[in-house]
Amino acid sequence: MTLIVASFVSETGLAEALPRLRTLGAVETYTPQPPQDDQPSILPLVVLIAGLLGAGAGFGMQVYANTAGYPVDIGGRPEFSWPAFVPIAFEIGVLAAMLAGFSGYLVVNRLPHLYDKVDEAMLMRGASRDRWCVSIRTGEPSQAHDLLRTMNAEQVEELPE
Amino acid sequence: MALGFRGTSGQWRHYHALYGVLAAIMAPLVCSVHSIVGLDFAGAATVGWHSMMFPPFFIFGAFLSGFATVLLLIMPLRRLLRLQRYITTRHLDVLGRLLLTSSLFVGYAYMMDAFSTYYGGEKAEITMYQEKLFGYYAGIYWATILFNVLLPQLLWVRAIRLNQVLVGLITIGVIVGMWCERYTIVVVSLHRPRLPSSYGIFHGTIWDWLTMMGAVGLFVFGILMIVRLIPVISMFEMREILAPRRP
Repeated sequence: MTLIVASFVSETGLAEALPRLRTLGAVETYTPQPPQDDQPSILPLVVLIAGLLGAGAGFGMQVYANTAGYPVDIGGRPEFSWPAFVPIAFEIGVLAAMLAGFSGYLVVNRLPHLYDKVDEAMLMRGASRDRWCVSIRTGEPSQAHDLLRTMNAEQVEELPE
Repeated sequence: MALGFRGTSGQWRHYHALYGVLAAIMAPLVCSVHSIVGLDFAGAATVGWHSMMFPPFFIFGAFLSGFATVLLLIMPLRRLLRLQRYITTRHLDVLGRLLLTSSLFVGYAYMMDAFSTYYGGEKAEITMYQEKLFGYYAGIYWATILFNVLLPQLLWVRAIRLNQVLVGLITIGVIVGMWCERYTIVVVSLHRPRLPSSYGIFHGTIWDWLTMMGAVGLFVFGILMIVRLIPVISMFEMREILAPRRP
């Protein structure tokens, strides 16, 4: 298997090459700004569920503390004073949503991922500036080279494994 | 520091989704944080604090001091880091208008504070309010009015909004004014409580002042460290905005 990295000067160049590159092996793109991509992400759902669970748990904790765990008569008010529990339930819900969003992001992208073979390619230095890069892991490097040449890749770099 | 963010398609996709969701959560969180601080005050039966106005009043105050602080920080930063092309005078102009608007909100809150005190007619409240207007701490109260309500009215004039020295002075005024407002709320309210036996005068000791300066120092340290370590403007977002304009 060989890792080939190629750079394009525009997003459209990269987008046109992608479908044909995918037939040759595992492809990954490295782009300086978000590419056109319509696939949904699971993270909003994770954040919603975590937020609701957190808010419920925060509310439940206060209900437990004030009615069962340590009930105190405060000026004759009812022990289950639910309006007073709302702000804390909201804030704990937000805390849970934020933590789930952040850690969920690391999990779905398998981060931290400090070293990758692709980092050794010189072309990757442009990937965070103004070059649209693609890496392809393939068993037929010569075919990939030919294809990239026909697709007008700006530069191509090969990393043997 | 990027934990291995390389700009892959999946990283960008999840990033975009999460960014939108977290931004949507942050907006109500800002309101809840400040209104709950107001609610903590209003929940006490203390003269000067026990007011329905307090939660929105604190949000208005947060807007005012927030816009002032942002303006005060970005005006030197855009010069020092040469960001004039990205943070333009139009941004300063709009921030000036927002500062003016929030100053009007705060002015409304001060008016309603006075109105509800005298309309409500509770003796302890009126005693405290008279003390606030004309008593020992009157200077602090009138400084609040001057710096938070009257001084920002200069921003009605476009030429003043675009004069960065004047805007800088106004924002420093607002920050001082907001400090005076909090001083009024905490100290002035507590120096005339319901029980005359608890009347008193408060002066900050050297340690109080040093703690305050330490807090300011911590804030400045945090800002300077972030400016040093992190790009102050999101570069890929600038590319998204600017790229379509360049042929």
